Amino acid sequence: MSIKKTFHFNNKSAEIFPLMNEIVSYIKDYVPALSNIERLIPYQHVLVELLTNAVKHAGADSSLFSIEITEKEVTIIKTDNGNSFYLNKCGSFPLHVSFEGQQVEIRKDALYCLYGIIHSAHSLVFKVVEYPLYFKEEVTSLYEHYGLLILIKSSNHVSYRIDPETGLNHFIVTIII
Amino acid sequence: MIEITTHQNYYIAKIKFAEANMEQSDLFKQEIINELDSGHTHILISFENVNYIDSSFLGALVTSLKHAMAMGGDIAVYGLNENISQLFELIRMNKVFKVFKDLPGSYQAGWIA
Repeated sequence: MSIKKTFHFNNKSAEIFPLMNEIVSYIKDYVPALSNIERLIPYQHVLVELLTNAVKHAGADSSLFSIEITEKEVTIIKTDNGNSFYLNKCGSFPLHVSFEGQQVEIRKDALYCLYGIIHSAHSLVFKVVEYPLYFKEEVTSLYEHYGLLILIKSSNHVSYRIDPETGLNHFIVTIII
Repeated sequence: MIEITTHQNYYIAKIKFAEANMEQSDLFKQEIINELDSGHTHILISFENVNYIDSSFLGALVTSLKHAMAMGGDIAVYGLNENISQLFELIRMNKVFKVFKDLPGSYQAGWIA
């Protein structure tokens, strides 16, 4: 079984929750295992963050959300023609080939370090490492950006790819059913 | 955006909207910081009306907590639904904020359940 549907998003914040509900309803219809509402929560979190990212960071007027459902997993792909992903230590995609294979720190605070593992000049996979929080005072060092962290923690695999031919950006999030 | 009431020796800030997202986060943060600056340094934020929360709003919560801690105060949360509770546990915001299922009795060098 493999089913695919694409949803258009106008990158307007008022449409985030209506579209999230529409896409979650679509996923639920095709995946009987997700009839329990609690099992849909990770999908809601992933979609809200991808939709929010489109509004805040894409620099594009619209984006596409493709949903691919197989017997084992659901893949959510956000596509737009806006700004490419930016890494502080490497710059914007496409990256120089010398970065290929490197694990690059994206952000680090008292709770988490987010990394990008660079697969090629056009793609990376995201990874997170957690740290224990020993003292409440460590809160003062926390970052205030949680979108990428929520994507990584709510799913099984998150990656970014820029199409070398079209320049389109793809955020790809996979959740094993 | 928030409704402030007093309970024992702390303040309750009840969020009045259902979707706590990027549209509300800046104003919410400013209202909480205004409360802190006015001397209401221990605030319990009630999520009883809230269905969803996004990363922008979480960022506003953490900013508010930092502001409170710098003043010797604290911010706790209350009334999380299953969706928000799972998100707090998932990214360990339950280690950053004291999370209550019932209204705490008071604040005395820590929230007293």
